[in-house]
Amino acid sequence: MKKKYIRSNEPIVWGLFGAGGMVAAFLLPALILVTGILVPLGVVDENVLSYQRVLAFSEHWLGKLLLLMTISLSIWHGIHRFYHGLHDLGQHNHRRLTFFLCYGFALLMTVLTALLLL
Amino acid sequence: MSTQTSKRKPFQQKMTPNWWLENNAYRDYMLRSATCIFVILYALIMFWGLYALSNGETAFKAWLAAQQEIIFVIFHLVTLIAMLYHSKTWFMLAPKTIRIQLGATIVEDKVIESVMWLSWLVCSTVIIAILLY
Repeated sequence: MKKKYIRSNEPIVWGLFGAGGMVAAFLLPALILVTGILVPLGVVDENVLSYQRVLAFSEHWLGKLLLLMTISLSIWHGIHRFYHGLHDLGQHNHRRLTFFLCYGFALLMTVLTALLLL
Repeated sequence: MSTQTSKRKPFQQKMTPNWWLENNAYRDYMLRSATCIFVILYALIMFWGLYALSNGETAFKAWLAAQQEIIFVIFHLVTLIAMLYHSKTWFMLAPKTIRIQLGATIVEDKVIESVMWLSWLVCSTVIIAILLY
């Protein structure tokens, strides 16, 4: 009988997880420090995140790419750990459904972010 | 996947809800996994900001004002710590995924980890400099 091989989806989701891990490790600490702490607390000038400035950044092709990568890959990274974390916590029910909900969410956020940037 | 029901009775390891508190390595592993919650939430806050930006200046200013709420500032502080922990564990893993051979020698783990931290420093400085100036 011919054996039917089922290809694993792991290379794809792990690839996105790894890329997101790089984004989270290299970009997020500095970004969080500025956007979430220094600007809101008034340590630096509020105009650092002025509407005109952020808009100009988001209209540049490189800015678009960076925003899409940061938002989307961070979610792909986080959701992969979340999905496997559920397994680590003994939540094994509805594995397929959970898979589609988790990675579907990441895909949806990627599409929505891309649409906002277009 | 086979549709046939298996007759075998595999041994199932019992799992307590707090197995990860049993030793420090398990605890650190779960701490690292928990950083995912903060990555996702921060990405969603950025997405929310981008959405506000697309809705015009008033919406974006409202988003910016929301970031000044104490709950958001606390969230960002915790997230910053979580991300630094993620960076630390990510760079500790780097030598396991990156293997560089120079002639007959293999580059030591410590060297790869140090290069990662150095790149992190450069990256962070550049981001902060671009944002602030």
